[in-house]
Amino acid sequence: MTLYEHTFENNPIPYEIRKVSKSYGKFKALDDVSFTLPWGKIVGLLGKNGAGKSTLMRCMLGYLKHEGQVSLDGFALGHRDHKVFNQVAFIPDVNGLDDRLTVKQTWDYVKNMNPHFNIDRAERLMAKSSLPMNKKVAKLSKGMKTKLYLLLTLSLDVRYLLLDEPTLGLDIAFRKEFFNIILGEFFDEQRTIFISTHQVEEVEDILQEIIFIDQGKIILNEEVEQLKERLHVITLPADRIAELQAHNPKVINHTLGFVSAIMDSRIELEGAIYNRPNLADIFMEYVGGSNETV
Amino acid sequence: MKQFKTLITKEWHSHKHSFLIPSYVVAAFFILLGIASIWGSIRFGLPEFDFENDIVHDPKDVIWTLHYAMSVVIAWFAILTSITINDSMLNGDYQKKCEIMHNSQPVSMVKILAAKLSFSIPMMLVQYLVLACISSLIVSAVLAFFGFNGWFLGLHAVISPFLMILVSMLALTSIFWMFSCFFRKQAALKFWLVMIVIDLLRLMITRIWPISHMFSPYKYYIKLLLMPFSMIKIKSTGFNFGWDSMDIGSNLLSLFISILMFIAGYYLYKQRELS
Repeated sequence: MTLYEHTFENNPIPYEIRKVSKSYGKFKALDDVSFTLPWGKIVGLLGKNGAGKSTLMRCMLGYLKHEGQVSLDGFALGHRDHKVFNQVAFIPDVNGLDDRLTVKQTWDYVKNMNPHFNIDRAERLMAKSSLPMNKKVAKLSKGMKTKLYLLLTLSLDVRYLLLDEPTLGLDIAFRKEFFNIILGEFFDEQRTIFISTHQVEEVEDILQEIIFIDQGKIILNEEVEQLKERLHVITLPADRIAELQAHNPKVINHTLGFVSAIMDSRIELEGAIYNRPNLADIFMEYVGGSNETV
Repeated sequence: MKQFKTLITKEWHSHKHSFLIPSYVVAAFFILLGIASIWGSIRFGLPEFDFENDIVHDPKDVIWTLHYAMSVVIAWFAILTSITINDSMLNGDYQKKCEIMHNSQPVSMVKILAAKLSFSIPMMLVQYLVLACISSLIVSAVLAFFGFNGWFLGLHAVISPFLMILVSMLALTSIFWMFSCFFRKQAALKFWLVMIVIDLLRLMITRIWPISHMFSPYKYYIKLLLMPFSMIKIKSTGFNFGWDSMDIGSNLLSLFISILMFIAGYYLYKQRELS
């Protein structure tokens, strides 16, 4: 058995982040972050702007030097260790395609550089995409560039797909198409998707596990279903706000004549309306701040 | 090998116009010369040369020097292009914001940098040699038209400065390579600034202490940069290209320093963070 040929049976903890810290001068972008990326799951990474989401992903890929350890299949990954890309594909938050190349040249580049490139799948995806092969990448629209990046990345036979705000700045139709393609073409029980996004509502239904990050620290790491069962939204008439405040929720939402807050599902108040919380609400409860940041 | 070829192809797609600057210059020169010659021939008629009597005492010296000068001028353009292309190859991906895409493939840093280096030195040398030979053949063909057989003489003059040009190209490219590996922007400018600062320090030290000979890196690299123009020597003959007159010790030292610069550049480049 060689490096990166492990199977789930002999190594159930494949992508492990242990006590990872990263500082920029006095600013601590990541502070003692530890978690394990399981197999066959779609995991969301949620945090405000500047919480450390991109830094975390870049540390996981060896792009940034950091304290602590990142290991894949039990092997520690060093700074700029190219071997990680035998198992991991990455789509960054800014479109990072090479504008100097044409679509065809970009395709050939990835095909010949990456031994995990699945030509059959790539051809099938490209045939459906209607991307102009001879056009320079610079002349593609933002949506087309993201689609090209996505199709090339999904053509790789890797076990982990890391997406850092992949749909930032794209219109809603393409964002939906983006996630449909990912679910249809990449995800299966042996593969993991780790995605950070601001548009939590559009990934809410597909996420199985969630990680909240704030000020460089992991503040929650839990199965989404379990989390939603553990918490509920309690709504009361506005004049009973004191009853909510008694339980010290971080955020109390005011709507027409009513107030609501996320609380432990064991808390029950007389005459209250109970609802299942969504991830944005839960995030606000844990992190606080304005809705714009989610 | 497939990855290496792909990396070279990528460099070609990204930098082919910069890479071909020496070819563009030579082509422009011959096109202008051709136009001027045609215009001159129409206006004044074809010139007549008597190679035995009219042109200096030994026409072979003049023609050999002409070929030699042509070769070193082309080499100079090749060296300048090689220096410039280093910076755009090492930092172009960062400046074009596609660094992550190119560094998200399972390919080692050694291979990536070796491909960039192959593009900026061996391939540039091949271009220089091809251009110098083609230029020499064109000039020889024109001279043959006027009755002078200088084919071998021309090629001899083209090959003669090759070793000096190789040493000069390696020394200059390697230092700029190292600076480009360290600085992501304006590496060449920063190189000259560092050289000037070092030289100012050197001048201050020599003023304060009575040190008569202190090495000046600034002067060294200026000398290297102008080396192609100061290499014209007395014509050698036959299969002797005059290489035996080269200073083996200093050239080997220069080669050794070049290798150190390339290795240092690799480590500096590997330390870079991507964001």
